[in-house]
Amino acid sequence: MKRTAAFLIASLLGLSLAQGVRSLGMGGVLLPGPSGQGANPAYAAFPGKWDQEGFQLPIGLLRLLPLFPDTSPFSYFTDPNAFRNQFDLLSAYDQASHLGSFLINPARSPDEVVFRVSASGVSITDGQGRSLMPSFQAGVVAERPTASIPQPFLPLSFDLGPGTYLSVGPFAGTQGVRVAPNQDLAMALKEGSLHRCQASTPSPCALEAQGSFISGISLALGFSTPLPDIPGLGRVYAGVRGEGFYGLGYAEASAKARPTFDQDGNVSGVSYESRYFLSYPSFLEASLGQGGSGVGYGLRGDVGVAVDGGNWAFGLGVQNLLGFTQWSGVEVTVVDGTETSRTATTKRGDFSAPIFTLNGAYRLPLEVGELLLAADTRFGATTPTLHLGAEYNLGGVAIRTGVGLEGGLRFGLGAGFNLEALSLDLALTTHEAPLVGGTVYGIAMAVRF
Amino acid sequence: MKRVSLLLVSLALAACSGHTIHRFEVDLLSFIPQNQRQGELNLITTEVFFPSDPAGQGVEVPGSEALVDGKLSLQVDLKNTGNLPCNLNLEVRLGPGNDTNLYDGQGGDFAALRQTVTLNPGEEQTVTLQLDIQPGTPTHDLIQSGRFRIGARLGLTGDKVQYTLTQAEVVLRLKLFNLIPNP
Repeated sequence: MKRTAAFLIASLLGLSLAQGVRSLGMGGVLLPGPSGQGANPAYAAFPGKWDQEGFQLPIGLLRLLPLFPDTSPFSYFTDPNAFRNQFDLLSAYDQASHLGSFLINPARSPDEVVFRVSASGVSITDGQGRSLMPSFQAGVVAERPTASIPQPFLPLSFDLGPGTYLSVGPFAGTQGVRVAPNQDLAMALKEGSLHRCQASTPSPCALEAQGSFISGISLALGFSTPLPDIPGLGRVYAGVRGEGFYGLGYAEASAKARPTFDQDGNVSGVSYESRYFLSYPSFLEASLGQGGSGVGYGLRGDVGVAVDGGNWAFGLGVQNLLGFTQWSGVEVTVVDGTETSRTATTKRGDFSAPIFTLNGAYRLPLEVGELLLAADTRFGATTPTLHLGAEYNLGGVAIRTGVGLEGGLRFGLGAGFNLEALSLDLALTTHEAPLVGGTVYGIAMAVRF
Repeated sequence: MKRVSLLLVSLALAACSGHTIHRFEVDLLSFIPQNQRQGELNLITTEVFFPSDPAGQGVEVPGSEALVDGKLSLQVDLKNTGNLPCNLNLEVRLGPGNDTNLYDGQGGDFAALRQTVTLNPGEEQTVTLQLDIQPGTPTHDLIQSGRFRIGARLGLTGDKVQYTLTQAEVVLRLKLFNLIPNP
């Protein structure tokens, strides 16, 4: 269990720390500048006057201490009774996927789940009569591998000359997780009757789950340079980046659970069907023994352009404009606990699955202090997002706020303090609680010396 | 034989926590055909089973080791339509999943609830039987085994009575985290 938890933490770390605290305080908006070079390679050479960020402390790790039995799986080893009474897998998942924030009220499972079983069907409510529809999605669940890998964790960067850089680092993370009833089951649960689920065998009703996990070593070579000034516009920057990876592991799984019925039309059980694909280097075969040894690699090209107009800036980046990825391994199908097929398979990604990022900022000097307004949007082969943020700066103190749409609505509130020897950034973060809904609040912190 | 399965535990993805109680409410009445829920007992037909099969209604409870407590309830409307006072015996019986007759006292079946009612001619009465399923009781132990059968019998000593079964329900409360062993 310890190993599983450590694996989960490592895989989520890269994602959860992707946004700086200043950005979180502004609702998650992406400011123009070098911190955004992952989304737009032109920002590698962009001046850092817009997006100064400190080092974000992963204070969410505090909640993995057994002191917090609701989110710490390690409390199982220190206090099994506290674990049995207080541990909440949903809370633990919520905190692990937001390690940059200490969650004040992580998503909490309902205290009571009521299954009402009758001859006409099954209804699931939370004890207050509210229908529980198991539905959750994070990221985009791709049908095939993609060359858009998670951002490397603590990459090593080398300056190779004017505008040219090389970075290498490990990455790990999910490329999307989804749990949801299919249309027939959703309708049946809504109606409180499984009648429509008996229309055929196997039942058309199913609870579906999909997810993928990827890890490897990334090697990126980028070039970014300022172009000659354009009169009336400002300084233009352009950048390109090629990023390749060598895969250390890829897992993709989907599962369906369908109700089964006896001859009288009563629910008699659940039929499970799962399919998973595994790929890992051959040296891991001895310890994993799943027959999934193979090779995984990928390469993609990103391009971007950005403009610095003095009091304003904007950029457009395109990730994975061209890409290629391939994983060889084994695909296994299991039906009701019995393996029905095991086939050596090679999976390839799309040749092009572009993700567009458009962001900008405007600095407005006021009589007292200064106001910074910023916005960004992402669209294409990803979940569309939109963020709007503002920062009011007065001397050594900054106050920030913003809103964002990332599947659910989020807002941010933050402050920055310049204490001469160091700068401290704090942000109140919010996000939509997975599965159960509602707003989860957290605190994020960053320091800069 | 009809069976009710509670295997839809897998749908409880949003409730994997130590503080979550899973409550299963099984509406047994809905599994009894409408025409078997009401009728008349008389000198010829002196007893009736709910459901009509003596093997009763099978219930499967996966994860039943996590059973905390529960409740069993049955309600019948009775009316003496004869000319003589009568006695009615209402009994709820439980048995192991492989028992073929809940009413023969063999194979592990037993009476979980029992009540006798006396009705005068023309008198009507609603009889409600309720049993709290608590740890340490035979009912709790049987349900915790994972598969059990349940049925009810209404017997008449007298002239003529009309009956209508209006409620038959089992409520079980499970705490699935109790299944986690010690490290």
